[in-house]
Amino acid sequence: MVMILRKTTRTHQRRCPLTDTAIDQTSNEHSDGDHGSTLGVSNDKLGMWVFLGSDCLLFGGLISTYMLYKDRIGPDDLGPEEMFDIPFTSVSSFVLLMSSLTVVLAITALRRNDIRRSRIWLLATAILGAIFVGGQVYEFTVFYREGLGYTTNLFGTSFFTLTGFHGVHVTVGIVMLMSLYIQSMRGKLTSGQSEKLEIIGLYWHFVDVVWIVIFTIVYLFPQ
Amino acid sequence: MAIVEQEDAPLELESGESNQITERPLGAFTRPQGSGGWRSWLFTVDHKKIGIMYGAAGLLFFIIGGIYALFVRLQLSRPGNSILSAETYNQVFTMHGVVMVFLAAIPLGAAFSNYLIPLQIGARDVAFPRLNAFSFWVFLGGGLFLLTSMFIGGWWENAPDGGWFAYSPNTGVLFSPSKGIDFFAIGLQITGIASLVGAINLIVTILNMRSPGMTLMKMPVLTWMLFITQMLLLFAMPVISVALFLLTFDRLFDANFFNVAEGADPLLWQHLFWIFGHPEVYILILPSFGIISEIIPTFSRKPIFGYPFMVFSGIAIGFMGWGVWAHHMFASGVGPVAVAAFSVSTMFIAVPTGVKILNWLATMWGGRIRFTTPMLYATSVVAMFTIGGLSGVTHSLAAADSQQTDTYYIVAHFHYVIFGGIILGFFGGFYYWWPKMFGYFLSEKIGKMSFWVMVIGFNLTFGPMHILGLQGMSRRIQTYSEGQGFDFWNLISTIGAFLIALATAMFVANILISRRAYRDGKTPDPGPDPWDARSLEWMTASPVPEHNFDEVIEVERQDEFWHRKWGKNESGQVVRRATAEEVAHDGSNTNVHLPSPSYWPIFAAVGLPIIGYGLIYNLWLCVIGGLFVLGGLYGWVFEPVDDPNAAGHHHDDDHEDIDGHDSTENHENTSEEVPID
Amino acid sequence: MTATEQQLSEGAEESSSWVKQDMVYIKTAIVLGVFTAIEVFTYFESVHHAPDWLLVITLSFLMVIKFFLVTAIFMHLRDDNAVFTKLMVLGLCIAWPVYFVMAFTFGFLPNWNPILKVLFLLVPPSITGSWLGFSFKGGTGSHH
Repeated sequence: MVMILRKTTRTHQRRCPLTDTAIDQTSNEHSDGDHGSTLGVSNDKLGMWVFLGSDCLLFGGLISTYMLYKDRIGPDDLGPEEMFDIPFTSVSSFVLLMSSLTVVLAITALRRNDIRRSRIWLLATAILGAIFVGGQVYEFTVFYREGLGYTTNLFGTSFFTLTGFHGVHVTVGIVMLMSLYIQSMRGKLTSGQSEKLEIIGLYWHFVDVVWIVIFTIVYLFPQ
Repeated sequence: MAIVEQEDAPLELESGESNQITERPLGAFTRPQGSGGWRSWLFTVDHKKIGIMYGAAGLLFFIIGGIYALFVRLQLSRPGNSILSAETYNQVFTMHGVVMVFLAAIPLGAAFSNYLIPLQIGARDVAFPRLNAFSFWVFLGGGLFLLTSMFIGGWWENAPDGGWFAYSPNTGVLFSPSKGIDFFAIGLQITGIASLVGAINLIVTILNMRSPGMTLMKMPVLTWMLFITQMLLLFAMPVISVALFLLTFDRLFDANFFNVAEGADPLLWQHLFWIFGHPEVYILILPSFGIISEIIPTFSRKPIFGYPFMVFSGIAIGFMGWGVWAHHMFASGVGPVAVAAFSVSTMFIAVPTGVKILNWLATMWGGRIRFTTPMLYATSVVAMFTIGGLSGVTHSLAAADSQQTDTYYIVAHFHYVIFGGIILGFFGGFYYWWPKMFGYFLSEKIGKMSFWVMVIGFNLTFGPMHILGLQGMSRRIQTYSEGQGFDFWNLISTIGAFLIALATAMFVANILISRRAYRDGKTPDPGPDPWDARSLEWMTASPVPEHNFDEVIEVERQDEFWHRKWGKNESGQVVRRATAEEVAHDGSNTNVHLPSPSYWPIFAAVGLPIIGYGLIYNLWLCVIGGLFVLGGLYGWVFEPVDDPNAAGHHHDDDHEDIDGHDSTENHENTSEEVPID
Repeated sequence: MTATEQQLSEGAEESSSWVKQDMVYIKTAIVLGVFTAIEVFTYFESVHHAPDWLLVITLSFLMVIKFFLVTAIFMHLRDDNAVFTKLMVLGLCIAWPVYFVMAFTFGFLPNWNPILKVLFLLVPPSITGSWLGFSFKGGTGSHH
């Protein structure tokens, strides 16, 4: 049975006044969603940026809490100097940074209709993200074994809360990336839908950017 | 690699097969069918239905919060009263505050936002209709979750009792051992999600879905105020989210964020809460400011005075609102530098509000004023908010505030701005837009009577509190002793509260009576534009048809609808160009594609309160709730954009092919058919 | 050549040049890696002699550059509609002064001159905010 791929080219005629803009003004899942929109951008992408703007406030609050509480420990308590393993955390930071690269490469590959390569980069991103999370989990386990639990002191509590929230954000990102990967395996992710990947990519970059801030302020700043 | 052929004209194949292949969606359920009954409400994604549900829920919660207030007032009507024990009293006044702020005022604002924003910008729905439905159901779930604290584990055993701003360390497990604060923290997290998601939706809608020609400075003042409100929500909700997480972790996981013995600082809660809390009060008031900015011009038959000033003062309030939060903390020991700085910034923020008051008055000045019920409410907002604002300015002087804080003077101030500013504005909005939303007038007679009962009752309730506060009556006390001189005004205040209750009952009665009267044919049809108004929502039929407008509206100026009805002749006199019926759409175009209803938003929303109960009682419930949320989200994401089998409106042009084009585009040109083996 | 074969061969051509096309991103990633290495290097140095304030300034500077690179290039802020940048900047401009004011009330950086604190609070958000030409004129809706 011959399957027919229909390729139509559009003329840019004056849009029909009734249904067209109404359609474009409707639901979000248009992949080429930027006609009929006031700013010329898609609703989905704008929505993700709006959300990321608000997430700044969330992480700002958690970082501030950490900065306020990290020194409120006794003289013999376990604090940042004793616990942090900068070389280890640098490696996992680097891993996360590279995952930002891989997700961008996945997007450009998808736009070029190089589905196979985009899948590879997508999987790479998820794996790098998982390595990062794994590194975090390992780091937390080491801290716990060395005596710093969640409730041991305020440094521990605020540190684990901040990095925990970030880790959850990364994990959600991995879930979204893998969902998209599975969609791609089923042949449902095409170059016309690269925006979906771009939007998840935006989230992923944001999570990376937050880590850039956390890594510098929490780990690298002199105590 | 599966390639799905898209539907086009049926081919007569030799085999007799049809070449129409419909793609089976991945989601297990098909989409809801049918357009009537309870299902059409439960699974709707229509912004108007969602707005109405927000309004109904808000009104219901307002009544519940009001009943709490009546009990508070009964308890305080006489010295040494014992209607409510101290423990119960703490829960009742806390629930009054929480319910009124988070479950009544915010949702009523959301009701107007959801219903009116798409209409005022000429759009057909919001940017993310299913997300909109999700917002509502999450809010409702969170609200009901919070209310169940009233009777779970016994009546008034486990309701939150730490006041609506829940200062630590009182709210820790040590001093608040009941589950009340857990209900508070988790319930507000849930409703917070609803607000945040709603804000994202409306911001994208306003930025990206305006009618052609409608620049930002041509939007109605209401849409502007609601836009600023959503931006405030967007940035403020995460802050209270952090605070509530810290509180929850303290209570559930022994985190010690507010445990002084471990080195924590209870002021951290106050800062985080009020960094949210102050923008929150602007979130509450700006919708009302927007509402009266629509009502006053209509019933003064003049455009709003100083439109750019109205817009920029609203933006200024939005910005400056972030710089005043510690005026709630003058007596908390933040230190003289902070107190002085916040005192000054608080004084400054009175300026943009003053600009608005002057603009409303200037709008009315020289206009041909008609005191309909909405206009009565709108003008009373201007008056009552001025009073409340003036007492607010007295608070900004930190030295004076040292005496006023935690007394009834503060209670008087915020009730004047909240009730006098916000609630009266909302009632005005109800009367104004009721004909548009439901297709019949609310009775003017009952409306005016209930207005006067309400305003008199309101002033009797809260006016005396200024005096009581300055005489030294503390807030949040369960009772007071006889010789303190508080008896008389407390009694007056209680009487006033019952008048408010009467007025509210009259409003509800008005709805029922007016609806019946219209059905019996005793009242006229409002038509599209009963008030001769100015903005786009009046340019379509009443009640608004499901697809909003019959065609896209090209906007050339502000108050576009008004200018299509009225123009100026050669001598500069205002003359009618067309009647409202001629200009307005009549709703007859059913060829408009609508987003299809969906099960998934409510399905996912149900999971959140279940997770909430799980955190308080049994962690396995969290797993179940999580499955609902996760399953709901996946079902949602994989559900196709629209139901190919949608009944009702035409769906011939619904289909998207792989490249995202749909058949509304011109197909007359070249198309390549590429055989692939 | 059928259209398919043409398409596939174009794809093959492109795939060999994807490195060239994506060079911008790869270069940015390399720069980010280098900056991270420098940051980590300062950590070890800090154990020895550098004064705290110098380290903080250097690390903050590097952090801001990395932030900017990821947002401008990976997130395409540089190439996309200005509204995205405005949203991100608005979030930051609110978060920065608000959280620092809170921190200052808690006695953060007590040795700083109050005037310096005020400048620290207001100058970075004002610069970024006004540099972007904070106006809402972007709503003209020219895409019809």
